[in-house]
Amino acid sequence: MFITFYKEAVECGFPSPARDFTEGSIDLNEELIPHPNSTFVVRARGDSMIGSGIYPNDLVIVDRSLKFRNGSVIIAVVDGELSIKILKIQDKQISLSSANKNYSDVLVSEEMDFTIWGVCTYVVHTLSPVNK
Amino acid sequence: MHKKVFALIDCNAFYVSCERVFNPKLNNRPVVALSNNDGCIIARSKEAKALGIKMGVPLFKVKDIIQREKVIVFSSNYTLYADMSRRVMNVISEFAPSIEIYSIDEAFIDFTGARLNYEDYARSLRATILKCTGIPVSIGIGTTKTLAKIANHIAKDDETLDGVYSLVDIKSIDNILEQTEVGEIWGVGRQLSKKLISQGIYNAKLLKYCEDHWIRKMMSINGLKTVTELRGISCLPLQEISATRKSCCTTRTFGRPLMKIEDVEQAMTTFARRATERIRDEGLVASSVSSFLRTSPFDRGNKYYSNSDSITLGDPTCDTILIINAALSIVRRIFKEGYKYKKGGVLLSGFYVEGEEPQSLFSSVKKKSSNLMLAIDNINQRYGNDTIQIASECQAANWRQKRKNCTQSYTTQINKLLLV
Repeated sequence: MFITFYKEAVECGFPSPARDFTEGSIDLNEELIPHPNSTFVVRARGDSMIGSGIYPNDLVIVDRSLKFRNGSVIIAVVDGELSIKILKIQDKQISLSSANKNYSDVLVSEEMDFTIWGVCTYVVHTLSPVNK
Repeated sequence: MHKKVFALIDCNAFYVSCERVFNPKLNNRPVVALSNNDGCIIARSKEAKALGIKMGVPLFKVKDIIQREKVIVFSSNYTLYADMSRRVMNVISEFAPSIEIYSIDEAFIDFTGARLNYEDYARSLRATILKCTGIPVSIGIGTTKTLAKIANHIAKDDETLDGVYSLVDIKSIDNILEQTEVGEIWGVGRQLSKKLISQGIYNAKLLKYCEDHWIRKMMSINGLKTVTELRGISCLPLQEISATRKSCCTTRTFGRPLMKIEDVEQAMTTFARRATERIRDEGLVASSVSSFLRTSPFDRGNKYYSNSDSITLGDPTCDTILIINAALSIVRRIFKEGYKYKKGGVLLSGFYVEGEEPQSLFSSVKKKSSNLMLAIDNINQRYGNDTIQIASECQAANWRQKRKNCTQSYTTQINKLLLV
């Protein structure tokens, strides 16, 4: 993804003097995916994370190399099932919550097969679809 | 001078591990992946190995076990595996100044002169690869590539080792070589191992102490290198991306615009054959095949279309038939009805010097095929090019690859992403 970026605002009517200030382009790959080897893009399904701004069909950028902490939006693996959740760590008790009050928290117990697949970093949500 | 130190990083059941990253339900269950056309089993999870499913066995021979034990079967998804391989290799490159990517799931790195605890460093490399990509690897370390390979086998087989094993500074190396069958030694193929066993040389220690002139007689000059490496003297250096050519492309503008897939296939078959002849001439084998097609960009009356794709071959090859098959399978994927195709081409890349490519399970089959190729080249040289052609050049062969249980291209196609 390359978007030409002008430092100065472009003026109307005249051949733009801003041309002289071209500074290359914004590379969204570079901005959003600093660790390409460990970054994956997944597509969101369901409405459980709407409160965090993740809507059905959105693209979610996931970086496996990042450290998670309390409050991180993560891809959780519970008994082999992948889901996007908010990680809550309180007094060594881990729970997974959704960003939608219709879903209740899941307490992670010893018997559960639980791992963290990666940390969600950005969402790409379509506002006005553009024909390619 | 420093003693040489090499590490071999090998992904565990790589194709199965790739599938597991995107489907964690497969963890701890028996899983296998199939070769092109769903013919043979070419990757097995630990659980599938434990059921006695052998490497390379045709699928139909193990149908009963697969049904009874509910083994999960995948067609190979080379697009996914190639992308995951690229990620793994990139992570490895960040840990070492020089890397030899030996196959889709193996790489050698050179630790020579590094002031570090090799095993600790390897452990942190292993943990980083697992965290970043989800792929588990085993790492073997040795003073030669051949010994690193043996160390890797041990790292893989002994679960108490945490995936890392070093043969550097080990006093009892002969005890370990004694437990290594000759057939497991890097560079000793099936035929040779039979020959050696018939002479009473059935483990690596026995081979190590054979006399040079006898080895040269039995195993040729390359065999002597292997044995010298068993003795701890490095003679196979790291082969970074070599000075040999990196790609070979045959591309032409068609005599007239082609609209039928049969005609395009016929032309592309010829391109693939010519490119293959060229690399065979230079003693190379290719591990990647790309095809491209486009219409004329100057034809204003018709819509412009251009597309290309590539395939990573399971075994690097210079076999015309295999390369044509690969090139045509891409053509069938990128060909769209209703366009007037004006230009096309086939590009081969990912070269190895023939004989130095990763060992194949089916190396004896390959030998025969390369004799056939040599004969074809000779005839074409003597009686003019195109005397002998592959059937699809004259009439498009009507086959399609069988890939019944193939997963999606999770990492390379926006409309095939993993749903979470």
